[in-house]
Amino acid sequence: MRGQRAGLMAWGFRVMVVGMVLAAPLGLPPFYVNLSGQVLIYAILALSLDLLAGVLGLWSLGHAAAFGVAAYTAAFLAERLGVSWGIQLISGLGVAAALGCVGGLVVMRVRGLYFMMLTLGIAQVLWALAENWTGLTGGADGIPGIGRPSPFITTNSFYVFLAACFALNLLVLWAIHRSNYGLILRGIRDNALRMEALGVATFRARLGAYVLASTIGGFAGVLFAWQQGLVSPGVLSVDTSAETLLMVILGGAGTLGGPILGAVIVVLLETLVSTITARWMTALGVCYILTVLGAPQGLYPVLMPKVARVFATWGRWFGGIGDGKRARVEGDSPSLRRATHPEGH
Amino acid sequence: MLVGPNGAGKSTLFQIVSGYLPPDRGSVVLFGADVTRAAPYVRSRMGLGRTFQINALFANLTVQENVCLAMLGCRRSLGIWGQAVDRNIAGVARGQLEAWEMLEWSDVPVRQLAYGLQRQLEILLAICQKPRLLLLDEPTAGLSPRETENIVRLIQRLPRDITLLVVEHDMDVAFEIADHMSVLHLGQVVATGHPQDLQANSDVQAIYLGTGAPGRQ
Repeated sequence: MRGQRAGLMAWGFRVMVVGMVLAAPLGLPPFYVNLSGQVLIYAILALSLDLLAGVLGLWSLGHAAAFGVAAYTAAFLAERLGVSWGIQLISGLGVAAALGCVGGLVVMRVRGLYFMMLTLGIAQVLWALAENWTGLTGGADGIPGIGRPSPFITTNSFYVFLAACFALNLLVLWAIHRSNYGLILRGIRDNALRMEALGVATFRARLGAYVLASTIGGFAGVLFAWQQGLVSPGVLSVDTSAETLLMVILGGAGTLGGPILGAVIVVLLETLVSTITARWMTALGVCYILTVLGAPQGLYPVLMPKVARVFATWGRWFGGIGDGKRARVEGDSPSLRRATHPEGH
Repeated sequence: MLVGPNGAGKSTLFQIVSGYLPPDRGSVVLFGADVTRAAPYVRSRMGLGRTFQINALFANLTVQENVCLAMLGCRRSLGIWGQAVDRNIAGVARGQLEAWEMLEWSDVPVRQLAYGLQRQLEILLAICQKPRLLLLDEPTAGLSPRETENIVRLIQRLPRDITLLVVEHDMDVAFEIADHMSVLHLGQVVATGHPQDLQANSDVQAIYLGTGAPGRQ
């Protein structure tokens, strides 16, 4: 009973913290509210890529494909056909899922570098189509004048909508991370051969993850189209794919917090540093190199134990949350010592 | 028990039976069904378990997560929304780990486990699948005498309703655990029968002691 109460309070505490963090930008000027919205969109995109890269171990160089086709689908339906935002969203997700399904049947047959090259190739083909099929995509000018969903026109209301979408996607990905399916995906990442021997249809499981990642990436694409009001071939470019990869690597692959942290850092640094110097890309490059050298596993796994310690202290103030959940330091455990030296040498 | 010198084709036979290599000719029949074209996971679901010569574990996951994965693999449905390592699975996994004297390492990542324990876990994962036929590929390879003794003891404790097909280089181990033995040489079965009978077989002596070419059966 006491454990249940502590669990509920811990949940309440987490929801409160996430809610406060998400609501914080609402008091800022519109520029920063929009910037925060952009962070949330890229965080969804980075989280979707992490399902492939971090959980499944498949580093896609073409994740912008799902993001871009969904953005173009929503833009086309909004601007050319004038359909409702609900249909735009569902169609965007549907097209991204279909791309994931068809593309997945091709790319899931290979691994490693070949997977990277195939995903890059698919995204580049779509980028070239967006550039050159002017009648459908507007060419290099893209599709401008996309309206936001009708109940969320103002900056603040649209930000609240984005925050709700972010929370929804985070919840879905959290459920996958802790599910049987998430464990099976991590098993495939570590040893696909053994998973087959254990009776898992690994191709089907990987294809499912690819479709899921594409669909969630597509969700981010539709939100991007609405927020920017313009979709141009840049959404399908290798720059977008590389930037998303950078968010995952910088934040820490295989965690939920890592890609979010990566999105916050990349979007904020790009925006803020570019207001200071024209050579912002050089400055950012140096920052990223130093970060990756200093924290090769990403910033989140490095920072999280320190943050957890602070929260454990706060939790005790809130009535026992965090009791007995001290961060475990590898190498400091008696069972670990016995496991590595079972015969005492 | 399948024995034979290096290059005899023992591991190739395992790969063909478990579906990782297609046969050049002939067919593979498992529990009365032709599985020549069936994928490894299909054969596994039919009741075929196997271990690998080089440990094939999930290095970044804990010992308990490895065991849970082995149990999840047998399920037809992946149960997307079911919580991983839920109470039922975790309970069974802990029971298995306790029976195999590995409970105290349940939360340790496998990559930090000593080699002997990894070898033990390699067999335990296959057992968790509840196989009807279990292929063990050199279960004691690279182990110290004490660790070998431990593995032999664990193999001898396995339920008798599991049919074991074991490849082993260590002849002491082979004679200790085998009920029936076949000697493979250059892809051919040279001799088959009770282990004690094979010790006196001249063809087998020729292969292992290099005293001449064996006659083909």
